[in-house]
Amino acid sequence: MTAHLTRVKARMSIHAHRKVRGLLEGEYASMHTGRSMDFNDLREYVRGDDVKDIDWKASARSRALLIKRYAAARKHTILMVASTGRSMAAMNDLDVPKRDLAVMVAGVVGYLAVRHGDRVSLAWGDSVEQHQMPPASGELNLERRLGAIHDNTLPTGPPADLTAVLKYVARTVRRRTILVVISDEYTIDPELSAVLRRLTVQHELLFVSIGDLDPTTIHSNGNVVDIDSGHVVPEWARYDEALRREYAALLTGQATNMRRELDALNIVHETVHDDASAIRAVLKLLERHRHAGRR
Amino acid sequence: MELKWTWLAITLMVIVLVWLVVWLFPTPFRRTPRNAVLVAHAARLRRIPRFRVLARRREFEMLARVVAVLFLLGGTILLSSRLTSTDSHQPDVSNRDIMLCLDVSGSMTEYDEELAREFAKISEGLDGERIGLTIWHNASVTVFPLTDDYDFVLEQLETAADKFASYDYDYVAGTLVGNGNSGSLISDGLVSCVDRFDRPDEERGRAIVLASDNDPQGKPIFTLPEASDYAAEHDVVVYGLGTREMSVLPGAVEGFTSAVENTGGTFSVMGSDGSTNSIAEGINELEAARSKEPARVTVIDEPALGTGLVSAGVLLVVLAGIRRRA
Repeated sequence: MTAHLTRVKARMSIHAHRKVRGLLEGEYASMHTGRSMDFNDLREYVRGDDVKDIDWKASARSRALLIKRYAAARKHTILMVASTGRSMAAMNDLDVPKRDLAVMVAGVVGYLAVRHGDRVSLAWGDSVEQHQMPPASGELNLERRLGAIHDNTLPTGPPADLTAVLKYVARTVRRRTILVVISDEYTIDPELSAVLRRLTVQHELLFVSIGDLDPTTIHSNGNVVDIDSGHVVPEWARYDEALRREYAALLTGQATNMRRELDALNIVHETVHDDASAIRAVLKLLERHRHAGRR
Repeated sequence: MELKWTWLAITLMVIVLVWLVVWLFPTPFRRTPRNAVLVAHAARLRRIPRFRVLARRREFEMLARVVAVLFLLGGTILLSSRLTSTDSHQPDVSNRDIMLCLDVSGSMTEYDEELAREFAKISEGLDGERIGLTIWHNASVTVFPLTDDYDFVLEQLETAADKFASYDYDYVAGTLVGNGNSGSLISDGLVSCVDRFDRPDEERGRAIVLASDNDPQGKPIFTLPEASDYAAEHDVVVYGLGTREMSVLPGAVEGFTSAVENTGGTFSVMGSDGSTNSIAEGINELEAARSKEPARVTVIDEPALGTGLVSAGVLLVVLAGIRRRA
């Protein structure tokens, strides 16, 4: 039952021990503006306010009734949005499916949140249907959410459609959350850009891209099948040096474009290639986010 | 063109067809390959220009291979089922019969050598005909019957010319029967020459080259018009060859000419300009009736097409292989 989370914890302790511990011990908290029981500001009393909140000393100084305001001591909600179309069931490299990487990213983010006492919710979907699981705290609930990502990403599923999932989130999620998008999109088209812009108004947005296996770098005799079309990637296309170079150039160009688009939207963005880089990327993401995406 | 072992060709074709069906129809024989590495967004690869170049190259190569396989299959099927051709050979050797009908009477002796040589010349200008030689005085003797052996004909005519030149009476023995009060019976000679044609039931072009001075002595069995009618009755065209001295004899030229023209032939004077040529042309104009010999049927193996196809296939396979290496 706790297979996913156990794996995440094991990887975290292997790859980024000190940093993770640092985050767990409080640095993570600093990314949230609200600290419970902290004084925030004063405002004039209006009828209906609790009399207990009146700051008498300040009222005496200013000759008006003033109310102390505290930042709400609320629990944060982390909303993980995972694209679970069939392209996510493809391979990230020869050993690791992209699905496992998505679970790893969600696991790292979720584990940090759970340890901090925050609640984790999940939205996932593809071009056909979208679902969500409500915010819940605790490792068991996180494990269920990780399991949902894992089990709903199937090679036989419908095509991925991040725009649809994000629109669904925009439609159904009312509360303000820290929204972690986990997808394998490689371009930001205008529609996706629009829905991202819409979501940044409501949420704190973190964007994690999961890379694809480059078919021209597979040195195996087996068949290579494009999961979207079901076509076999022809063997002659896999061993051509010129094609490999051109394809690499294309991928680099697309990655640059994507980064530019997301920067323009002021969304913190990281690309993940393997387990180790998944943890590093999440930490970097959180760090950059703490610095308002300016680093 | 037909196949000797049609059943083998059909069996092989059925096997090939079944194989093609299995090959071309994806289900249920062929599915997405198992143990395949799944990649996403590989469609991007197809949009790269270099991919298109490679694809076109591959397409060309595969086309060559498909053609090679088709050639090999077709050639093998053709070879194994033994393509044969039945050659129904209709030997249309001789379609005309020409009888050389020579008057060897005393008045003609000086012309006979010349005539034999003219005949030799005529027979050299002929092709596919059967030629025979009959000599007559008051009786007919067949020197040689109708034959298409031209070497023999020329040899015989040569001999005849030599014999005539040396006044060898042994050669013309048997042409003068009785006490000698009759001779040079042109009408009887013509009739017996007409009778020398064999295969009366076959439609063949028949011609007689009749050389005489039309100076009959004694009483013939047939008159010349009777003989002419007899020849016409048997569809025999008579070409007349007269001597220069004939004009002296009263009615000789006229009688000969009318007898000859009655059968559709012509009369000419020996040695005058182009006489042999005009006769040879006339003979050629004779209706070329086909001889009704039975068709000879020969069955010949035709390995050329199959071998060619297989060779082309092998060559293409090798070329495609070289291209792939390169």
